[in-house]
Amino acid sequence: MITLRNVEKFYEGGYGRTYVLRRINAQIASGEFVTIMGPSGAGKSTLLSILGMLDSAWTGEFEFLGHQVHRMKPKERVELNKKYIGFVFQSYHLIDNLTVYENLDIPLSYRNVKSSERAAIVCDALDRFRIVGKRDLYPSQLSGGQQQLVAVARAVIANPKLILADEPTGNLHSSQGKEIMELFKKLNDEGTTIIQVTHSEANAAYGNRVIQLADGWILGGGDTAQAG
Amino acid sequence: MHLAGDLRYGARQLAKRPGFTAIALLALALGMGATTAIFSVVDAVLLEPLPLPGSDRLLAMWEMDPALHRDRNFVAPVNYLFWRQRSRTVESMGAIHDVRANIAGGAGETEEAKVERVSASLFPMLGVRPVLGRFFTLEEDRPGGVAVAVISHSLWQRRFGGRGSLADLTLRVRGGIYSVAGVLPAGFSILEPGVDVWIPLGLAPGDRANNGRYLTVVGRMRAGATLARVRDEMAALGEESVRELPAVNTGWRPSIYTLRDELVFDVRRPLWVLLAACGMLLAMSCVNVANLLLVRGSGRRKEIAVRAALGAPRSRLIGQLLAESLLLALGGGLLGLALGAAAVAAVTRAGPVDVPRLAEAGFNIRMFGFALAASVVSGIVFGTVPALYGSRSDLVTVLNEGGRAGTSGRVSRLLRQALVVVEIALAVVVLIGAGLLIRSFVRMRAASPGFDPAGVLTLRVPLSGGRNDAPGRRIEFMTAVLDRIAALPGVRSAGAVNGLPLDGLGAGADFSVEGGSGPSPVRHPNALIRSVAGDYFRAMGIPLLSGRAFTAADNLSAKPVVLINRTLARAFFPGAEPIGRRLVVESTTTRVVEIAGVVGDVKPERFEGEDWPMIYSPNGQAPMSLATLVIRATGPLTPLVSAAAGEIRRLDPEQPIAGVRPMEAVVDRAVAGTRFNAVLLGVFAAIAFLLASLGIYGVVSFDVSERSSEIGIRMALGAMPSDVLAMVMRQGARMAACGIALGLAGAFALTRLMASMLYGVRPGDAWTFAMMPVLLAAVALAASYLPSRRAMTIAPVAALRHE
Repeated sequence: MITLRNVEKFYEGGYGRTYVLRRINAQIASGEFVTIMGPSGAGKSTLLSILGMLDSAWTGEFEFLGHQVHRMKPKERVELNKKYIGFVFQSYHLIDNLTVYENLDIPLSYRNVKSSERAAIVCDALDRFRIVGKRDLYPSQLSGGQQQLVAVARAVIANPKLILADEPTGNLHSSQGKEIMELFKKLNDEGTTIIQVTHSEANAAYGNRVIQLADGWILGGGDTAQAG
Repeated sequence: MHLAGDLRYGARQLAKRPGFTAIALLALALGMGATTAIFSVVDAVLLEPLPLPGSDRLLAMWEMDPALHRDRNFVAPVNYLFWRQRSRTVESMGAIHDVRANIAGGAGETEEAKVERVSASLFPMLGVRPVLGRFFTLEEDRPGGVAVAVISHSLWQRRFGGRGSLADLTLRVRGGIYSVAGVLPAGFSILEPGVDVWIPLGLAPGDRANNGRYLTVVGRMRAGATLARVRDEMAALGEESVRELPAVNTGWRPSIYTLRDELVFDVRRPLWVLLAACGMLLAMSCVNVANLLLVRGSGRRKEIAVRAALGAPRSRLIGQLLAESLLLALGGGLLGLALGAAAVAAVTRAGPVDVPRLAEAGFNIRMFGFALAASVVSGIVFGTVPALYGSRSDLVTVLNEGGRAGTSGRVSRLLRQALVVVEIALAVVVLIGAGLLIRSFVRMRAASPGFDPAGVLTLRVPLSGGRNDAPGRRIEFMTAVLDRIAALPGVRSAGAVNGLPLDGLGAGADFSVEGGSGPSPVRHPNALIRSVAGDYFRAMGIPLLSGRAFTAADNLSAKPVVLINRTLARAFFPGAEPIGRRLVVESTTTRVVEIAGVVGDVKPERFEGEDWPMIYSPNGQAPMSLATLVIRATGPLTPLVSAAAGEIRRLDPEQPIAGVRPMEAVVDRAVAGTRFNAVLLGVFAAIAFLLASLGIYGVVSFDVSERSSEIGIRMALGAMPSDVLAMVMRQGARMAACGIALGLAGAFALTRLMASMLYGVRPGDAWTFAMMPVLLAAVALAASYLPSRRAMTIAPVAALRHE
């Protein structure tokens, strides 16, 4: 599904380049549940942003489902994101001014799904994630766990092939975190590829592979490729 | 007593953000400047009492005939005498007959002057005192009384060098020698400005001429009487006078106004409309500043929360925020005052000449007081909502947000949007008002006044009182003048008339169609009467529709003939041939005249006025004493002025010449009021555009920066830049749509009040109601486009990391 070859990201500074990611080589197959781990500042979230097409300022080669991402224009990358990728963030990133229902509706509206179909899909998701009772509440009226549940529902609503989760349980207490991780596991079992960034060994245990990052380098777990 | 400290802190806060302060001050100065300037005009013209003692009891007394659409018609002397004798609620009355006459005496050549024949009762009734000498006695105000005159301060200075003694001072008026009895204070005028000479009216009871309507009557209410009581009593007197003199009074009744209302009759509505428009601009400025303060309040939530955590009661927080608003308002008021003083100077210079007392408008203590009051009220108005909202911080939430950029929440956002909606609605009202006036002006300029003013020179040749005034001499002199001028190179045709179009109604007379079935034997229709000489109709470009024009053969020994205008022909000879029919015209004498032709209509007084029936007589049969020459040139007009004057002087070196102006200037003056209103409201509309776009830009721009993380999330969830653009633009469009809908409803209700100011455009004019919102919507979208572009460039990663 994903192949990264010599992917690098850096900032130009007064003292030369500051690298955030160095010579990243990795392969991730469809159906995997991969965990990216490493200390703070290792470049985990940056790598996740690149994988999610949110960051286009990098060098190297990136293949995604047969598409040469490094050769694509920003607009085409957004199209890939829309078509295949769902996001879950540590701080949920629900939109404050929209209700639960409306938050779930957003990804569909950007994918030109007809409104009647959208209503059916959103209702289905509310049902599936057992948040029907919360549909008209605003995010500020939900607990952290409930908000993250909505965020996961929003990430999967457009039926993505890949879910990228950045510290999905970082702001939750352990039982809520466990519930979310069970949910990821279930989604993975159903065929969705998941890449999560986490500090938690327990969460990592839900996956089948760990990529270790430190100071922008892959220390291990990048499949066949290794840190150079 | 924390005000001083709050003000000091407020000043520091404002100084710390010069950009915010500058924009807020600019918005306030624009609204305040326009309002202060127009207030100053309204104050001088409408609110300041007349400079006469007890002026609130002074009345302008007219006659009206609703069937003839005459609301404020001159009064017949017979009725003036009747009212004066019978009225109990009006303690004294004076009558005025405005004329123009040639005067001579003291220094300088013979000149044409505005002269008022007035009753002896007039000056004592007004309560005015002469600066020198005395007014008329009752004996002098009788037919054949001693010829005395009272002169204006300016004439006294101009012709007599301000001489301290009036003994042996004489003035020749209309050929009669008058002793100067007194001098009026500088600037004195009653209803007609620029009068130089007052002579006794000398009404003779029982005179047949007393039945014609030509007097202006001014009265003073008895102390304790009200206008309503006076009107009731005068209505009863009107009914009595109909019974006593049905031939004169059937259909007529008294029509009474206060003198002040009379003076400002035509300008009151436009001035209030302009002031209302300014009030809307000021409200828009306040909304803008309130919005800016709300935005700033969002950025200061933490500061307010910390203050609250340290024990500040809410009242203190509100006080502190209001102190800042007040400072801003006072600053804006001061700038506005400077702007307003400059604007009012421009308005008094460029305003129409027929706005009474406009010259008195200017910077004064009342203007300053108004600006101060408006500033304080504005400061409270625009400061209260942000202060109430800003002081209501949720302590825990805000403090827990740490350094993170907080969102100010749905309420604040809705509040800001609601304010912008109100602002747009106000802008729509101002824009539609301006649009209607501008269209009126354009229509007026495009409308045909019934003649072609281009390339026509006019100049007055007043014969009254001069050596050419004898009836036989008038004809001879005018014929000679026109023959000579017509022969000048560069002259296509020349004629003369005793009342130019668009220059006033002038003389009128009752008439009837001989052998016609008039509406009532005692109720004759009224027509405007003109004498014309030479090739008047061709020189003015008034078409001859049927019959023939006058010729030199139409003289005193020939059959009396007239030309009538199209309005008269249509009204009194519908579907019939008027040529050859005869009219009985009742003026000082009764004349039976034959209709020789029909000419096109001209507007006698104003574009928006009705078409009057008009009867033209040849100068050879009805010699005029106040002639205006009309010269159509083949080329430029300037060289003709001295050439024409030269020819007149060659015939009579003492003949005065006055009022030299192109006919286009006459037309221009007739549209000056509408143009003035249109220009002013046009300027206000431009300010409204600016304020509305500033408001929309400010709110959308702030929302974009406040929602940058939301936009980042949306992009992470698949939003394309075009989706973001559409989302932000939609916000601006939604506010614009709501504001426009609200504004249209408001404009629909308010523009009805402008009906009397419009020409050729209805208050609900569909074109204006459609175009102005479209323009505003375009501006609104443009104002939201800039922040939308910025939103499109938001990098999702950066926005999310920010969170």
